[in-house]
Amino acid sequence: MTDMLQQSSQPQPLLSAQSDNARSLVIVLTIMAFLAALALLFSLSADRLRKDWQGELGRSATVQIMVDSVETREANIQTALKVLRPALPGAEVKLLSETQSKSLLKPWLGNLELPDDLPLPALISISQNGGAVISPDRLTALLGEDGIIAEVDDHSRWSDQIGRSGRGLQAAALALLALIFGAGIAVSGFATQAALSAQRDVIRVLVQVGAEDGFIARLFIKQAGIRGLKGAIIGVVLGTITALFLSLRRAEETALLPDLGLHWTDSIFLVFLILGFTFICSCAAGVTAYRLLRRERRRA
Amino acid sequence: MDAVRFERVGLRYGRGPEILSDVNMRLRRGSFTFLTGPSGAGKSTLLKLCYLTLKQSRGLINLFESDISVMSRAEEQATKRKIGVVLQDFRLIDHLSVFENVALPLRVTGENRANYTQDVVELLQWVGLGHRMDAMPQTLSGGEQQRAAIARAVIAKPDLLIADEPTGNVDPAIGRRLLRLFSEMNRMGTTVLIATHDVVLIREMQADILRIENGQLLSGLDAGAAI
Repeated sequence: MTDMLQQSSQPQPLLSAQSDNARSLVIVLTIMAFLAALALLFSLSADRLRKDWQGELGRSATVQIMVDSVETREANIQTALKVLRPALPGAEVKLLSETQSKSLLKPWLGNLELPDDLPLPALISISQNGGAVISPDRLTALLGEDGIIAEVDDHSRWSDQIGRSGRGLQAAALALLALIFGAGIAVSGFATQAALSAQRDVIRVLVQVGAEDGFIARLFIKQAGIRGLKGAIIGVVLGTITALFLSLRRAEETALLPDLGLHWTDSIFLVFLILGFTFICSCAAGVTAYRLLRRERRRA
Repeated sequence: MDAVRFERVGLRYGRGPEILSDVNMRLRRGSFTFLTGPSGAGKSTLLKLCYLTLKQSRGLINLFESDISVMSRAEEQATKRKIGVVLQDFRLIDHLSVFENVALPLRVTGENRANYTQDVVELLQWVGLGHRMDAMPQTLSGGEQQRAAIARAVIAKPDLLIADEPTGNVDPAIGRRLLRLFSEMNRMGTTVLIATHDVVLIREMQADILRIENGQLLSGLDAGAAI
């Protein structure tokens, strides 16, 4: 008797796992979770990259001092350095050499030999090692107080472009993620519809013994949730491995791909992705099961 | 108090002729009734109306003093949980063991497994399936499947037990044993309605007899005389 009781101690699942295409469904969900994981990691990485680039640009600036004559050039430069260094404590403020200034013109003028007496503007490079972002207006005003006519370029034009591109990439990745989730809902709904049809006999018996719609729907919710969880875990693991592999290849090597740098905090988002995938599969199954059971009842 | 009451009940499929016509029937709570009649007379259809698988086209059906035509889905399912049904095709779930099939009515109510395990085992032993409780239905003989179906119908101690040819696939000894089970349940208050052709079974029990012919219900002495 004890043996018999022990044998029957574990309840068997009421829905048959063999009667529908469980394996095919898990494979489809795995592929979707794989794509979703890549889209998510790409979105996070693109956002990080954008912030890094914008941060770097925001912490550097180039001050261009307009030189009226060769005689006043050196004095103006020294005055400008005296104004800038105390105004930006901790920042690296250095004058670019004439050679460096000339090399900056190469993209526009090519390899032309420039005459020595060409009045090139003096260029001062500023690099902030952290902290506040450089304010071009403030620096221009400070220099103006000492009679220096200068133009401060904080690379905001580039920064804005990078920001727009980065946000665009992130939005595209998130849209892709949303589409994958939408497809996940549809797949789970269709699968539940097929499962309800395949398990018609089981449902008929459950209804006969007095099972409520909620009880029956919960069976499908649980089944879809387990399948969603299984597919999501496998897909996310494969996606993460692929992203890690891509992150090892530098942007310079791949030419087209940006650096896909991964961060440990990404794992938190991946856990949410798995939970989200499981949740939408369960919800889609629940809604479909309730809807079909209600329709069956009306038909009966 | 009536467990089942039919008043001028008619049933037709679509626009076809009436399968059941003007059926009036009362089963008192705690009664034991046999339903007889030739094949195709409408016995199974009448039982389906009793266990809420079919809805009448006209007339009134009351189960446990409640009009089934105004029941909500939840009330309907709650009423079904008071009814144990044994069908000719058994309807055991293939991927569940005999134990799980029998425990099903208790499981759907959310009953704690530990509370009913002992009851299921004892009932399976009573119907002679103690040694087959972990077997799958496909591996059972017809008689064993029938006994499992009967055990499932009675495990939740229903207020109304409906059986369609419950002894059709079992040998006489097992048949008598099952009849004793039904009788015992009836003694404890369950209303029993059994559709059968088995005259021996009917004669062994001092029970009410209903006879159905061509969708019309005869009862009492008329029915007895017909047998």
